[in-house]
Amino acid sequence: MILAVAAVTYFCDMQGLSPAGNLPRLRPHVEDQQLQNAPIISIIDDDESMRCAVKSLVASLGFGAYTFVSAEKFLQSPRLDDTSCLITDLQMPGLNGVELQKLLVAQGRRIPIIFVTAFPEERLRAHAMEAGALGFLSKPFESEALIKLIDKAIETGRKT
Amino acid sequence: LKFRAIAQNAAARDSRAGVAAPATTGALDEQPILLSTLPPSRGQKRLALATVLLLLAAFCATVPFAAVPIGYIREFIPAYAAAMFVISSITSALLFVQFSVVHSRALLAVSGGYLFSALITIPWALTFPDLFGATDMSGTTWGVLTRVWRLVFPLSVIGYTLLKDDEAKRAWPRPLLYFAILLSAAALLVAADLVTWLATGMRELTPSGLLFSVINRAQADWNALLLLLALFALALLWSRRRSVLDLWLMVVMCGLLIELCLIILVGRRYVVGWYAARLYFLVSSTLVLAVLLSETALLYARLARSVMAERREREARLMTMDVLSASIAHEMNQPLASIVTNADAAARWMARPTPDLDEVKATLEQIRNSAYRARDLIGSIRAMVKRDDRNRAPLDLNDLVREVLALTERELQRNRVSVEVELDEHLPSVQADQVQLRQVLINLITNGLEAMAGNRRARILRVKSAIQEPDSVLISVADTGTGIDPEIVDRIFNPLFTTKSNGMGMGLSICRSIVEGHGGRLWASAGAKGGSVFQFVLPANIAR
Repeated sequence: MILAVAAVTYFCDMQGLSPAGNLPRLRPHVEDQQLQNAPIISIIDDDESMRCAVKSLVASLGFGAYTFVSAEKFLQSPRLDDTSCLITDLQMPGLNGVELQKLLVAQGRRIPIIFVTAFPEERLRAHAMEAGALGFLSKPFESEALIKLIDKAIETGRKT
Repeated sequence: LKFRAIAQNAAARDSRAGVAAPATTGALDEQPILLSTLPPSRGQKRLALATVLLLLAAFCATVPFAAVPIGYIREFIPAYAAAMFVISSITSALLFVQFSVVHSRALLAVSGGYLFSALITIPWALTFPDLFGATDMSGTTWGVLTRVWRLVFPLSVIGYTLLKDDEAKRAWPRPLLYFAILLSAAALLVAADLVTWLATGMRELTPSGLLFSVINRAQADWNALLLLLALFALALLWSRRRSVLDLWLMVVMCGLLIELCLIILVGRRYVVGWYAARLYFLVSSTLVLAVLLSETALLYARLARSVMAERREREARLMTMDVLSASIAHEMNQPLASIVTNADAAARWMARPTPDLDEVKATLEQIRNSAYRARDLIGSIRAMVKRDDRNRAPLDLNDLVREVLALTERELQRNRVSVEVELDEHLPSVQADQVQLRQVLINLITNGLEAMAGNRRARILRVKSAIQEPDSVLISVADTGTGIDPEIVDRIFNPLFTTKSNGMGMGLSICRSIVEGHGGRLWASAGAKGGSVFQFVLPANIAR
């Protein structure tokens, strides 16, 4: 079983490191052209199962989905420049979600951020929303809520 | 796992706190606790009576020798005055503190009396004729001061007695309270100064004036007046006696009466009676102070105990409800969230014009893995409460019940829950882990408390211990709360089952695991008169 989990992890992270469109086996139905224009959603979560789940959901919506195990990994990646919406865990080893948000704001990047946490704390929520977060979801959340927020992010991205 | 470490830390902290402070009695008293409001106990009444009798006996013993001259002891008056000053000022300070708590003008009167006594001792000692020789050899000033002192003190007691009963119970605003205390202290200081100035300057100012003649009347008239005043104060106190303070003020009045009697009897200085009179009054004055101080110490002990109990309770609660459930919530929400999101993703992959079965398969795999993870989590919670013989020792469940009731006392009081405890004193001990079983009891009691939170009828928590034949002990916790729906009674012990809006529902599941880990059984049933009963049995120690 451990081997199976390891295999899945590896598989998911592999996907995360490469654009979804380069793995046609998984998305035979997505036209290349469509994919190139598809908005990119980045997902940061230190929990592997959650990372894969959100990625799968986002991909099923036809977006380009990239996953990262930490805020630092995301900051180092080229996705930093073309992400239309960022879905990030709040509590993570290293930089946490709010710190990442601050850093992005300081860099002048206006990526819409959706926070996801398994440890809902009103203070952190208020903090994040005040700093301009798009949304704040408590795990386990309803997928519809996440989809609505993503749509909102893409919508605002188109307008500006 | 993360929560495991946290839970163990909390458990360790909890047991430390338990060791640091032995269990307190679970008495839920809401009695008045101040000297000025508390009715005297039987023991205190006896002590007061014994004191008065002792003073009387001393008086009688002194009478035959009252006129025996001792001679002038130069140190006596300064020592006596210093003692009186210290005793009176501390007593007055303590009474002022009581005034600031009870807001009673009566207390202000009596503490003012004590403060005046303290202030007047200074000129009183300084003007004592033989002490500093040079001034006023005749002792007129000293005599006047003595009379004023003996006059003001009983008057303040009479004022106290008259004011104490018919008072509108209203709270004084804090600034006014301080203002009243400061103002009375300042007024008394001025009054004492004025009296001293009048007494010293009187002979020169109005040698033949009316005031002088009144103050300087014959010793006998004055003594009679003071005696009557003290008697009146005593009688008034007796007719309106209610509190511990009243009781001891009566003792002080008796001391004053005895002093006056002795003074009248001997009529001279430096004889046995003269010295004894001062000593008797000093002793009776000290008594009020002693009682006030012992009460302060008692209050301090109570406060320390309740603060400690509160702290322990908070830590215990932290362990059960907050830390444990929060960490479990965090650990549990991850796989749950993953399952929910994956299920939705799978549905979407399926719903595509050409369903992506590979994605569906991968997603289902994820769901299975998350479910396994949740299962492992539950398993590790069970492992946490699993049998570990090293922590087991003979445990008296009655003691544990008392301890947990003391821990939760504040919470119970706050929710106006009355506790009925019925413990079998012959309960054999059980071989158990104290920290774990304490957790079980805290959980059961907290559950009962929460079940009664919305109660309109009486909130009664019944905790019982009994011997369950042949060789088990039974603990039951019954509440008069909402009771358990028969449809869910089988599920309430499942992990994550909860009817509360806040909480993870881990409590009962953990409780059952702990009890079963001890070779016992935990179950729930409907109470005889509504509410629910949670009971557990544990095997008793063979060696009784």
